[in-house]
Amino acid sequence: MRAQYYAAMDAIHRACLFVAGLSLVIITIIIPWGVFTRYVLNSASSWPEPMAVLLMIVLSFLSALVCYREHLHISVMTLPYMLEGKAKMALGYVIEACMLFANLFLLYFGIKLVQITWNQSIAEFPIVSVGVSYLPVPIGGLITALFVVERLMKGNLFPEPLDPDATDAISSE
Amino acid sequence: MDALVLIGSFTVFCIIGIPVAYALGLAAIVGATWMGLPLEVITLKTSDGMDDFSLLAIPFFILAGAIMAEGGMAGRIIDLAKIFVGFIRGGLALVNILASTMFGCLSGSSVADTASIGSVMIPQMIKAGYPRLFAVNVTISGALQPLLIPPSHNMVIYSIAAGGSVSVAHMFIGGIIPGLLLGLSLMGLCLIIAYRNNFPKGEAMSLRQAGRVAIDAVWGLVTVFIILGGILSGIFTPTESAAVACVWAFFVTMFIYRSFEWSELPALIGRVVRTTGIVMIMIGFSVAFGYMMAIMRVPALASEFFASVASDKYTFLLYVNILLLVLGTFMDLAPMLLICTPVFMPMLAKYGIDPVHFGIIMIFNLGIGLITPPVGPTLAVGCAIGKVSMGQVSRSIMVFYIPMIIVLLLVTYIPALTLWLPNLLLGK
Repeated sequence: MRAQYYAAMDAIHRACLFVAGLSLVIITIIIPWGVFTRYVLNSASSWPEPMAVLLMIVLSFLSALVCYREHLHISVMTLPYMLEGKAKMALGYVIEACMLFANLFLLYFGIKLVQITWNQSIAEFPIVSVGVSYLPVPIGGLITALFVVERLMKGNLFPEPLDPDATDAISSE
Repeated sequence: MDALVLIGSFTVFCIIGIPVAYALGLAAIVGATWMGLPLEVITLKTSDGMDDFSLLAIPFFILAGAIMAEGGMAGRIIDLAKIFVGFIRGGLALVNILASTMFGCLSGSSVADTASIGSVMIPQMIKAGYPRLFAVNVTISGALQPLLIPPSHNMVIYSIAAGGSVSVAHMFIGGIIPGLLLGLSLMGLCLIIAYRNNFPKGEAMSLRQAGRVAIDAVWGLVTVFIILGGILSGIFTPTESAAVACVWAFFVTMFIYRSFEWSELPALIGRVVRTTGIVMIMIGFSVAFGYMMAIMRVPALASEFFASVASDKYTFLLYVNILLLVLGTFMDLAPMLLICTPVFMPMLAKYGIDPVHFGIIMIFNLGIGLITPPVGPTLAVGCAIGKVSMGQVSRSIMVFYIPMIIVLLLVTYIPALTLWLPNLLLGK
């Protein structure tokens, strides 16, 4: 059962990474396309900007949950690294409990937000509901919560120390 | 008391090790509960924080920088830098700094600069007889320049954190002179150390060879002309210029340099997605946190505090610099920008400080925090590449802080260093 759950999380992780990457690629193509239509075809397309913003929200939430599963988010790790043994594990469980709460919060209030705005349409993009633009919030919350459960089951509460041979570290800077 | 609940809960969440982005969100939830606000507002603000076209510039600049860094541009830039300074005593140290200056025109990432330039330059410097620690120190100190030289995505973050009232174009141009000044001062220090320790001289390149290297590198450096030229001429918005730069960087890497395999592209996109994920979710939650800060009058209270201790702008800037230098050692640049900018912004008009000038001071100052322990991502990557411990670097890098602090003080107290160029090119 555990193995199946981990395999499912692996599959979701890969799918989220793929969709986020695809969103990034599409955004990178459609914005220059908008510039091209404005200056070369002399008829500016109105759809690239709102579509890019929609895809960016998808990219943001999906990439954030990928970062969570891979322990990439920026954290102040001074206290966790000072502790050892049971105290460190206890702190790890507190952190994950907070993460679970934050993501269940996003799930619950994200669904409410989608419900409230489902019948409104985006001004620049009338065929799309405003609710669709908020959908990544509950989806991101749900998947991250599933990842938190996986982490609690596995017990890998803290990132591994930096690999001395790593030269491609990911950072916000 | 309200402000104490918000800031206190954020501090506790951070200290226990919750990711900073989620600590911001959780603190906003605590704040909203304390104030009796409907909790939907937190989700709404978080999502709306990412619903901004100008934010797209961040993944674009990260992507363009990653394509150029991993697509063979670092080696070409280093060769180009060797033409200008490689033949001087301590030439490889100067090449390292100058290559970071030029790399800054493409990437805007301090960590990417350390990884790209460092993985080429540190082994070269060690092989040429430079001490390993010196090579690491030069690399990570030079890596501060991309934060200041356009296109730095941190300037987009500052502009957004300032409520969109600060032009990204002004920030980009405003960072040029401080960035160059930092590069020159670091080169000056390297020269002094090189002559004292009799570091080796490099060989001068022949004119023919130099010409070939320059032409090879120029394709990549055109990216900066697309970005700055597009913005200055008004053809592109910063976001559009970043997207066009991505397409150009991709074209140069795949079809002119042919130094990147198509099969490597998914992994590169994956790395950019991850960097984007770290930054964007933090921006979203910081908007919710900023909203709560405004409701709880945190900026007003901070303003009252500073008014009681700093009567003029010089004292104010001194206190701000000390505060940020201390905070920057514990936290990364992006979250500090997102948290501190809305707090300081209302005070700037009162003290007569230009927001562009203040933004450059903040980015410069917090950038120094990236190479100071205990939390310094650039320092960590530099140590990993140079295979030295953080403790060794922390002691030996002290002398490199001197030019950084001198230039920081110059940039702080001579606003023209930041504002002259953007006012000249873009108007006030």
